[in-house]
Order: sequence, then C-alpha cells, then structure tokens
Amino acid sequence: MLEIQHLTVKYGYHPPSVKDFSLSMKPGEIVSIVGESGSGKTTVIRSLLGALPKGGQVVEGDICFEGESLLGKSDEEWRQLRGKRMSMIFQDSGVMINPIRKIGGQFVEYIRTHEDISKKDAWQKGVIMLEKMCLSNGENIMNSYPFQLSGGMRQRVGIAMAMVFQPKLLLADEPTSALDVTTQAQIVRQMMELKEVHNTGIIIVTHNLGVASYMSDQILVMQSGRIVEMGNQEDVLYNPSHTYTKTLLESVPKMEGKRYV
Amino acid sequence: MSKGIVLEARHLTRKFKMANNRMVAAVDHVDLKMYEGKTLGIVGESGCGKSTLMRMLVQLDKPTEGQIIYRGKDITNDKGKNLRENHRRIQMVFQDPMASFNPRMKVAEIVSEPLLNFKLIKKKEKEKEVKRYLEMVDLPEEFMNKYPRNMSGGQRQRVGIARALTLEPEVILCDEATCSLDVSVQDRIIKLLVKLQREKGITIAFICHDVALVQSMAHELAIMYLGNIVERIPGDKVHKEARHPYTKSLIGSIFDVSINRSIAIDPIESEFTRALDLPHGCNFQNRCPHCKKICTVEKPQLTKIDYQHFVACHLYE
Repeated sequence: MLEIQHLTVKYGYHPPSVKDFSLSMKPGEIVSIVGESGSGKTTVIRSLLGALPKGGQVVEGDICFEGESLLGKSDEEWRQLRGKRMSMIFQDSGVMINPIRKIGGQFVEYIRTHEDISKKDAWQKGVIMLEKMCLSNGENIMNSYPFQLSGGMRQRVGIAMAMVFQPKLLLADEPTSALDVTTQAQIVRQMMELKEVHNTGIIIVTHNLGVASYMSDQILVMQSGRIVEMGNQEDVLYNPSHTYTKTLLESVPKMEGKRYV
Repeated sequence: MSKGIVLEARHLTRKFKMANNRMVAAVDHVDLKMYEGKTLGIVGESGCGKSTLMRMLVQLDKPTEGQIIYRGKDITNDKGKNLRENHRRIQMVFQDPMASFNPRMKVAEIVSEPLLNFKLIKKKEKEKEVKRYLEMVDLPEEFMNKYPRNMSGGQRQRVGIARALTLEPEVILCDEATCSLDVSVQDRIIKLLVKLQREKGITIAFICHDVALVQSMAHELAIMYLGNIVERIPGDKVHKEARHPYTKSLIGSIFDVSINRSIAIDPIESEFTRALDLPHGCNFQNRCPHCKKICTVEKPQLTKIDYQHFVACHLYE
C-alpha cells in the first residue's frame, strides 16, 4: 500500500534531517517508528502528509501511496488525499482544535469540506463517530468547548475526526505521550480496534517502546535521521543487533526490572 | 521527634475556591513522612493533587489546614528570615526546566544565583563553584557559557538539578522531573539522582505518573487519587503486593516491552471524576471493579496491613 524509497529530507542548507529512509507497508499493518527526540521521526510522518514545515524539502527518494507517487502533487490533489485517504492524529489534539469554537461546528466543517452533505447529516455523522470512540454522550461533546474536555477525551475527538472517512492510512505522531498511563492504555486499545474493524494501516511515532511492542507488526528504530534497525516486532525486541536499540531497550523502566535502591 | 524523619506532612489540606463558592479539596488530609537519605515516590494521574502537595511542601503555597514539620519543628507559618532558611533546606526541580530558567541567563548565572543570593560565595569564586557543580551532574565545564535554549532537554534538567544542589539542601522535591525526556535520557537522570543521594544523603521526593519508573528508584511509594493517599507501600513490594484496586489498575496499564500481545490490555474504563463533584464515601467507587455498598457510604481510611504497608480500601479492613 505504501512504499517509501530512499527518502531524504533537508531543512534549508542544514545537513539532512532524514537520510535514506525506506519502508514498505501492507494494508492493515501497524508500523512504529521509535527513537529519541530529534531523530527525524516527525519529519518522516510530515513528509508523508506533504506538510513539512517551511524550508523542509524532500531532496531525494520517492513516496508511493496506493500505486501513485505523492511527490509533486498540486495543492488541490493533496487536499483530495488528506483527510479522506490518509489522516493524522497529533500529539495533543487539543492544539489542533480551535479553542474558541465548539467541537460540533468544527467537526461539521471538517466533514463538509470533504463530502457534499447537509449540515444536519454531517452533525449526525460526527455524533456517531464520537460514540464509536467510546465517548458516551456524543451530542454533549459536540456542544462542548475543547477546554471542557479532559486530555484523553480530546485525543479521542482527534481520533474520531481522523477516522470519519475511514482512511487507508493513519499517521499518529506520539498520540499517547501527553496522556496518563491509564488513558494511554484506553487510546491504544482504541487504535487496535481501528485496525481490526476497518483494516486501517497505522504508522505510529512513539518513544514508548512498550506501546510500540504491543501494537506493531514492524518496528523501526531511528537515530539521527537514519534507520539503525528495522524488522518485525519479535526480531527487534528479542534480538536487537544495533547497540542503540539495546540501550533503548535497557532504559525502559520495568516492573520487575533492576532497582537502583 | 522520631528519628530520621526530615520532613513530615500532617493532615495537609489545600482547598481552592471555585465558581458559586464551591470548594475543591485538591489535597485532602494527607499524611506523609520523608526519611533521611530515602526516596519517596508519589504516583497518580494528572489532577490528583500531586503538584499542589509539592508546592505546599516547598512553601510556595499555603495549606488551608494541617502542618508541615521539618526536623520536629512546625514550619507551616514561617515568614521572612525563617522562610528563607527553609527554602535553603528544601529545594525543588521542576518538570519543565525551560520554564523555570530565565532564558536570558547563562548557565553560570543560573547555577550561581542561589549561592550569591545567600551570600555563600564571593563573586570572584563564581566560576570555580559553577565548575564544581557542573561536574557533579556530569556536564562539561564549557556549558557555563551556554544559554538554556542551546541545550537539550536532558542537559537542561541536569542544570536544574545542579541549581537545586547548590544550597546543599536536605530535601529535593522533583516534580515530574523526567517525564518530558526520552527513555534513555530519563534513565541517565535517574542514575544521577540516585548517585547524588548516595553521596550526600539527600532526601528525595519524586513525583511521577509512571509506576514502573518510580518503583525502580524509590524506597517508599505513595499512590494518590483525587487528593487522598490510597496506598503506601515499600518500593520493592509494589509489583507483587500492591493491594488497592487503583494501584493495581495503574500497574495493569503499563506497557512492558516483553508484553504478551495475545492478552488484551485491560485499562480501567471511564474518566476521572472531577474533584468538584466528589461522591460520598470512597473517591474511587465509580471506577472500582470491587465496589461494595459500604464504599458509597463511608470513606476508607489508611490502615496498616503489613510492615510499612498501608491501604485505604474497604476490601482490606
């Protein structure tokens, strides 16, 4: 479904932030990208969505999504693609939502941008989506302001919005790192359900190796813009070959692990 | 005065006034003891009152009720000179060091400011002292002339720790000091804190929401839920002997690297109750799988069930 070949991304005249990044993905597969901050994880995701920050540019390589190359698309073509066939969940969905407008209005606007339906139907669709994401009272949420919702609820609203058109590919940029452990577990379960029900492919960027190991079929470890290790979940976790992967694995705090005191 | 207790909180309560004159108890009758050279971990979700508790302990905020006892002396209402002395002995490391540093100060100034404030060194000794403290937190001395924005998160956190150390405090309170950092950096900071504690016998209170991390470095854990401490347990017992349903669900939500993927994760459903509309009886009742009739009527008190192990739950009374 998705094929990235030798992707290299540069910001201005700086040395490339991502170098020689290759990945191929089947439908309904979950791939996680693990690495420290500054290792280029977010840059990869952003270049998939054609949303690199100013000055960022793909200088080499190709991205193929469902058989067509994404590079060199016009703005209009991107608009057709984003939201409908490919969508994104951000680290804090609260920031993505306009703080002075109610959820409902924004949700309806989002749906109507991509689909030609009446406001009433769009509202209904929004409510159904929210309820699917275990937000029990959809109508109530639609009538709330973002600040009235907790972090976990906002993140679910973000996922609900991303999932309206059942995209083939969902990009998640640290979707749980701003959340509490208990909420994190709920969100992870939600995303696993998406895969099972809609066969959505997910690329999740995270620095939580535990979440990565629970969710993913493939794991990629990145360090300073390069993939240092990639493979299926078991290989990477139980037979890491690169020293960086080993250090990462060792530093994850474990319940029965080493104690310092 | 019991031996070894450095800082103690007795029935500490902090209430905030909300709209319509309703009161929210962010911290509700909390009793804590911190022992010399030991680490106390405080775990809980956001909004459970961890940070309010910390702020009261460093005396940035005044409790509505209760006392703070330092070495057997009530310091709750200290002012002026005494308060200044207390600040010297009880220091804090913040969650986001970027926000706690002045962005226009260089590291040398940040680290030496408390020393100069308390007139512990002369201006010309500044450089030497800063070097010494940077070395203590494993930073090269070139860092003296850097600005906070030119450093990575982990390095900034080290500077934050160096600054807290300068006054040679007896107690350091860390408010989510590592949660904005990457795992490998987090690991290094924890090792540093443990090393410093060994060398200087500092008492540390460590706030975090990651049980797995806290239990690896704390002698004792206090689990907080909506302003109350629901369980106190020695760090090495957490994994096997945690009793309170909330503690168990926190442990159940950890994603371990070697997690068994065939077993579905079982997070506690439903959101946090807002501190405003607390139910009668146990605060945890609406999320608790073992909720009984008594839980809706009477609030459970912390009861001793084992050596150094206290639980507030009707299941174990």
